[in-house]
Amino acid sequence: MSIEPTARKGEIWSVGGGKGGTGKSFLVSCIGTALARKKHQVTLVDLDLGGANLHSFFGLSGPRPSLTTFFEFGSRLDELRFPTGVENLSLITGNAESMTSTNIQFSQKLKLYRQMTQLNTQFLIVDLGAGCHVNTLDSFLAADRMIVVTVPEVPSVENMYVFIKNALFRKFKVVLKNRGFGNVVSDAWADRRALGLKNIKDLVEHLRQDRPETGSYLDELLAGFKVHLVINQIRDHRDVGLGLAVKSIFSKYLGLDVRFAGTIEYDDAVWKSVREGRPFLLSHQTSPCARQIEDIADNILNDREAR
Amino acid sequence: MSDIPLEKCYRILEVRPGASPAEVKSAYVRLKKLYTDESPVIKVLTSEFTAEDKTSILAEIEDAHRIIMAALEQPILPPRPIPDIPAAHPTPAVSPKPAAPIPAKPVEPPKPAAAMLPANSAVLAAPAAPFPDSSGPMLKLRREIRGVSLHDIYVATKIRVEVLENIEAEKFEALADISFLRTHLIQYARFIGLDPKETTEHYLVRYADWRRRRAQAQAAEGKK
Repeated sequence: MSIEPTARKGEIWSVGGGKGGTGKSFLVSCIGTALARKKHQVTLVDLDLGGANLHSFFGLSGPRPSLTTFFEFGSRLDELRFPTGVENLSLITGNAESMTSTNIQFSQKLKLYRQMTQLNTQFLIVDLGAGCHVNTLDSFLAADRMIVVTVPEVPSVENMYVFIKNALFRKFKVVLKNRGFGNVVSDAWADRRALGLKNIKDLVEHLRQDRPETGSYLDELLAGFKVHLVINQIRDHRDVGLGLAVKSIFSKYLGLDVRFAGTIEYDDAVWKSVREGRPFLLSHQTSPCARQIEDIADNILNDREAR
Repeated sequence: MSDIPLEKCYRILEVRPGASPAEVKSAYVRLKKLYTDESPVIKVLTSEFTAEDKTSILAEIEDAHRIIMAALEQPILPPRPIPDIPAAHPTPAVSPKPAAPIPAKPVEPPKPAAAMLPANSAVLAAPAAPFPDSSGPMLKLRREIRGVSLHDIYVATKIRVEVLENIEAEKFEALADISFLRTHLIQYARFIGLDPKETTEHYLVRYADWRRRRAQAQAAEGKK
């Protein structure tokens, strides 16, 4: 199945997080720019079909080849890349007029992932849409590095939590099915009332007891499920502690490794640069915000955490 | 619950093994606050979990803190036999007499410069015994009390485990370059929460003493 590791040319990063407006596309454009400035070949893919706007962070507009032609007319992914104006950085847009992520067929999805892994680039960064649609979750899980962005507000943190849980649930479901355990995960969850399962931690414990042979797969899956967390639009110094708090809660309640990659402070210059259509990292190189983003890109690249 | 392995205690408090008492304390305070008075943002993350889940997390934090603090406050006994200088190079049958009389009081730690100038100081001529604090075996003991493995140090400092083993075993002949040794000692001491200056000074006095004795042995060899 596609969301399990396969051989690939470059490294794939995915950026998700459930809630819209938390700065996913902004972060993708900036991390891409940061890596490209370090002489890496980077390709961005806007998979926020239906709400694609990654191109606008580079001041690009007008009709361009997009994923529409991939899905509807069978173009190859590498033919859809076009330059962003930033050296070493190209983009595949998602402004798929007639499509949303909900109406992609399973076979199209597999073809997309296959071509993504074969794309000749060092880093491929995928911008995901909001919500927890199964296609969004699969694209998130197909990456080598999974990144979530949230702002320090209740609705956004809540959606981020639900997003990670859903992604984990999806991974359990797919991996155990592929290992010959059938629909053991969905069945247990469907019976959750009778079984007294309140959350995903209860589900894991139930599976361990009910089907002990799944234990080693569950361990492997939990140990390998690593999410990098970015907190965006910090306006108050107290919000800085949120990263470590989220990390702690995920580890203690769910046994998950959330790597706190860093925070980005709120900066009016961001929307100004978007309005002017200039890549933020180039137009505001010396701003604290730009430095924070560069640190975040570095932390994710080197699997480090912010302190 | 009270016999959680030290390594796991550090994981529970979310600090690296070898963190200083101050770091341990501040992690403990932070976590206790996080899990007792949850802010609205935190509440959305923990709402699915039961009161028992929360109680057991808090109990674990308390236990881990108590165990680590007890281990850090454990008195460190002076080492009994200081290991002999490894015999890779033959030492003279009769060990050299101290050039200075052994002082009645414990010898003050040497000035930093003293460690740089082997064979040139009365302090160095004294046997290594007055400096037990940072001998290799003592460093090892202190490291183990803090629940730090050599691999942990390697991960943080990139000093090879083999080199770290040589430092702890005082295999001086394998630690040829004094400037590397000094840097390694500083990193080692910092990582396990010892004073880098003091550790380096004490250890290098032992190292210098070994070099002096080796030189004497080689000179004696040459005369034969």
